[in-house]
Amino acid sequence: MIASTNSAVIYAVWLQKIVDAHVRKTWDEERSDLEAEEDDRFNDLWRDLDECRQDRLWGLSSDLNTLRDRETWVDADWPPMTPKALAHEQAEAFHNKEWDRLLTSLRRPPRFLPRARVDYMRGRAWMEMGHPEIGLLFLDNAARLEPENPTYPMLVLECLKAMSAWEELHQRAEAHLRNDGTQPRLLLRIADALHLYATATATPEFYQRAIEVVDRGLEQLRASDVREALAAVVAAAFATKALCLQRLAKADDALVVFDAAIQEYPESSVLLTARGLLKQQLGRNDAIEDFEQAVHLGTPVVWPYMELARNALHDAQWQRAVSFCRLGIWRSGQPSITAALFDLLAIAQCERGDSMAEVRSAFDMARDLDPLSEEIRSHFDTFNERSMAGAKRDWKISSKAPPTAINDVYDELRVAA
Amino acid sequence: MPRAYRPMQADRAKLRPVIGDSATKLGVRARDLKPDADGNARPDAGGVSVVSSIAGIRRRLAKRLFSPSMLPQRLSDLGKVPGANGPNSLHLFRLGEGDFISGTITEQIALKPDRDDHGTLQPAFVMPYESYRQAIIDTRDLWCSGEGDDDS
Repeated sequence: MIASTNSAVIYAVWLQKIVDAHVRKTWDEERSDLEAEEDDRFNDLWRDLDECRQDRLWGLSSDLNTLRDRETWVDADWPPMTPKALAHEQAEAFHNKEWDRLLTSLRRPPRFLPRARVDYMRGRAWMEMGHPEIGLLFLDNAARLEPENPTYPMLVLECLKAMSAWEELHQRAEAHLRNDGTQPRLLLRIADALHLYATATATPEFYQRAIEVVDRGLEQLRASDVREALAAVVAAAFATKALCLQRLAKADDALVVFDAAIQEYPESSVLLTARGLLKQQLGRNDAIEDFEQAVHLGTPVVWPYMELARNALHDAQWQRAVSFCRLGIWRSGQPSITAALFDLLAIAQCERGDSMAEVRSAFDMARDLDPLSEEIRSHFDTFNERSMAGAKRDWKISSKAPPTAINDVYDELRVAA
Repeated sequence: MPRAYRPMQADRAKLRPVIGDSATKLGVRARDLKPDADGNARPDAGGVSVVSSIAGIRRRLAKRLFSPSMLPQRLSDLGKVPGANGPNSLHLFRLGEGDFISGTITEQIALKPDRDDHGTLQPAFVMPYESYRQAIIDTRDLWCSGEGDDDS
């Protein structure tokens, strides 16, 4: 354990050292005797790294030469490979998320991909490997090499968000906004960045700024003919605007935005879910209709199933509640939400008259997944009391989703965009 | 004389290796060759590390046997060792012109290849440890730049 921790620390320091070398060009700095001694000691630690990390570090050091347009390689060092076979290798590695394999395949000859594309994929790989600060270097370089492609600066913003580099994010966003040529797709992503910036830095004025940027982006899109291809981006932009309005305590205005969005994209189950959650927060009874429509459209989001299950329980429709819980459990990716669904399932099964063992099993799942949930504990106590007394109990089920549910929905829209 | 390469800090004025007991200077560390119980340096007990060729360096690199900062970054730009990022105060020195095979470097120093394009400069016979160290230092003028050599 200690050895692996040490190895992780050594790896992290080596990573930083290699990035520093390339960013600051430390190789041209004068080295004092003390620094040279430190270098020696550091080189001794190299052997404590496993082969995979050694490979990754050497590869990174080679790949970072792209920042100076000085990448080199020796054809003779690589076994021969046809462009077709290499393209297949790269595609397979990318789709399987085998990032080290992808990075190696991008490094080797024959080099046939445009450099910007190579650096884009390197940036993606490092982002996915949990190093947005390194992904940023490659994506910035891709943007330098192909400035007309908005995907690269969009991903740069994603890296800065992942790094919580809020001031840098803000500066980059403003720089893009000063440029009249900034493409609408990038504008809409900037709006999302400003929305997150406002939340992270507790500066609500930036919600308003984000709303203005959404409007600017949508206006430019209306003037173009690519709106259909960017449906997911536009849907996310509507959600950005609505969320900003909610943050500014303008829930009614937010609802108007969702209405407009759903009018434009009536097939978007995620937008319907978002509107349903907002209506629920506003205490409107028609929220349930949005959830039903979202489920009808096969939404991947768990909340409509949860809310319909909750609603069925309130209406004493036990079989319907069981069905929605089961459908929700398949879609839930978060242990606490899955736990809540098992909790509702246990209640529905209990009321339906299922065996005690069956009900207890569902409660056990809920308690294992979210052992600190007060609500689940309370329901389990109610179940035990009822088992003993055989009397009808009031389960005290919360009536609506938590306010944070909208964040899950928004994440879903952002991923799609 | 057999040929061998070693990256070392360079005295830029003379383009000769800097003398010292470290991994990137011309000298001997106890970890390279331990003195025996009598304080002597013996053959076949280790020595100062050297490599066969520039291609040999890359073959060792492919096995990740050393870090990117052990070689001057300049070698990466030259396309000789892609990814090298060490200080450019380092220089890749070479001694000899022949093949990378066992042989005499000086009366007191011999080259012994071992594995993976690697070899050591060893004492040619049992000698006091300080004599071995001095013999290594005395090779200083035999070293010249190997960075412009053929990539083979």
